[in-house]
Amino acid sequence: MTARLITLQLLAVAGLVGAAMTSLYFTIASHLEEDNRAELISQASVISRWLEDTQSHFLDSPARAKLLATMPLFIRVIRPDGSIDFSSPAPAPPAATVFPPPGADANDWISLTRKKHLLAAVRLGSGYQPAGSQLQLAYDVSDDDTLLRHLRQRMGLIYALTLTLSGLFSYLIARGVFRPLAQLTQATSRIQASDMTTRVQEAGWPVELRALAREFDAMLSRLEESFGRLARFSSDLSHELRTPINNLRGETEVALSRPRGSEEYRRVLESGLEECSRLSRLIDSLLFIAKADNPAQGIKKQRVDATAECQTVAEFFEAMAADHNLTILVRGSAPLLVDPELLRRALANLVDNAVRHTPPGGHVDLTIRASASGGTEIEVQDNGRGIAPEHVPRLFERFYRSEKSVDQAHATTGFGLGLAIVKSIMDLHGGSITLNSRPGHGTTVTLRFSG
Amino acid sequence: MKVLVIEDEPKAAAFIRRGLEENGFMVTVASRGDEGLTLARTESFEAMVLDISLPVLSGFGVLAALREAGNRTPILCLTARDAVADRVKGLELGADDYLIKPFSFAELLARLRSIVRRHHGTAPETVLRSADLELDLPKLRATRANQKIDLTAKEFQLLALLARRQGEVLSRTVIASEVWDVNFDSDTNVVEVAIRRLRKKVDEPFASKLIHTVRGVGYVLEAGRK
Repeated sequence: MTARLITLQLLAVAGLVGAAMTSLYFTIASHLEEDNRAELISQASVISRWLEDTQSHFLDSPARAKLLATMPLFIRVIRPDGSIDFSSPAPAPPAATVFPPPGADANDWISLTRKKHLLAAVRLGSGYQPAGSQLQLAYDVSDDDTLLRHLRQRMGLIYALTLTLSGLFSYLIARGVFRPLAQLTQATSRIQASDMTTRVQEAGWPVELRALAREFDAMLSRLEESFGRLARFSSDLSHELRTPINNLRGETEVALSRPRGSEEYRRVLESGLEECSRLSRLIDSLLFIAKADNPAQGIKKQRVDATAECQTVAEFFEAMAADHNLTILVRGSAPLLVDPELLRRALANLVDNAVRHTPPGGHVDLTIRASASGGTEIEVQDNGRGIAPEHVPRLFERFYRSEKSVDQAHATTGFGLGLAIVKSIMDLHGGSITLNSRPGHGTTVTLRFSG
Repeated sequence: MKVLVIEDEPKAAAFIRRGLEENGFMVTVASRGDEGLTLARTESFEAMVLDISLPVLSGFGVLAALREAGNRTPILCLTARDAVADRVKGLELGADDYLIKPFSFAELLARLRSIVRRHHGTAPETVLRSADLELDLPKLRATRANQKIDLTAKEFQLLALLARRQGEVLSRTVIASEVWDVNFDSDTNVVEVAIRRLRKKVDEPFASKLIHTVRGVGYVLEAGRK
């Protein structure tokens, strides 16, 4: 980018300065030329009048020496028969033929000594004998030529200097502009996957780069967060996989290490089967979430009666609720365009959580209502223990459990994937889920489906 | 009942054969698709268990060839991939049901029996009996030793399911699906709780127990099971 910037800058300077200098040069050159021509013509008229008045005595006059001293002028008079009347001394005078016809514009002639001359001819008036003689003048303008040559050289030098300086300046400017970018690049390269805490910091950058630095830091924060989530997910996943496999392997190994009674073998096999079921369920749940992560995953939506679906789930938990001395109540109704299987799964996960976290005598309410935005909301509300606020933001993460120590009994069957699955289901439906909880008062989860 | 099992994984083929034989089936096992197809064409089976990923000729190939030839034997497909497209393809080609690996054997048994039943189109029963338990389906009435048992609607449905398929171990998943129309493997112990409550009413007051737990597998209603 620096190179391009400098190139563009140089091209612009070269074009502009070049054009200015060229036009200046040609103005000067044409002025000089016009001046010389005017001078030649005025000299021609002066000399021709003089010749007519003095009848060839021009040669001997002291005025001649004076004139020739001030002006590098070659003078020649040609008789009508072509013979030379007189000529100022010159080593190599121009031939008569190179002169323009009398009265015509002056033309250029280069002498053998490489000097530029202006040539003009005038027919002498009747005062001069023999009549019809012609005055020829050759004006040496080589001094002006030298001047123009010097001007050209000088201009070329200035031009080269301007370009060099301009290139240097643009390089310095570009470097000044790009240095923060280079520093930003350096700061960026210091950030590693192993240490995502480094930030480029918004302060200290030029105004133009501050927004970039801020957005960059924000992106890093998001990356760090998802990295952290992924790391936690992997470690949780390996724990969830290792535990049942470890049980399975250990129990089987110990059982096989010596002969045992059939009842003992049966116990080991039963326990092994439980661990296998646990693994199967884990794989199912993970695959479900993984598939839901893929937006291309289609779902089969159909129009269902929300009340009937809620009722189905309520009935499913009827026995458990009766066991816990809880009541599950379904209220309200609305049509819903959903995948009923997925809806039931989501509701079952929510009701399961609610039932487990509500003390005897409590209630779990499923309320269906039209939402303000034209869709449908299903609210699952309990008046149970509630969840401490610090857990709420992470509840939808995979494997996140708010109560590792509190609920050991469930920790052996659940994986902490329930709410993650509900969220996936809502994502698949293009809906949303919110959770509000007040410790000691209960939890409300709201599923919002767009109309 | 003769069943053809086409499965290339030796351990899986062995446990399916053993499990089915112990449940009164006569089992023939083929480990390659083409071999299975030949067997299916030359002998007559009442049902087939067909793995989808097979060497030489895939399960889909076997399925298509059989259905094209007009063979209507009930077929239960097994697949380790749960891609929806695979499932749909299997059913479109004429499979009667499918199971995703890993599956519980109780479920395989239940589904196999169910597709055979469906194939024969047995008439719905109105009264179910097991020992002294009697269920009057149209009246939703359950009695044991002529004493009326008070059951909720779902409890009656659960008991009816167990009684209709007595002797058959039903997994929690099958029970949740048949009784509550909940078709996913739930982490909850809802079925366990429901069975416990049902037992309290059906078994607890009586000397002989009808509902049994097969640990890690499921539940079975059977008179005189130890």
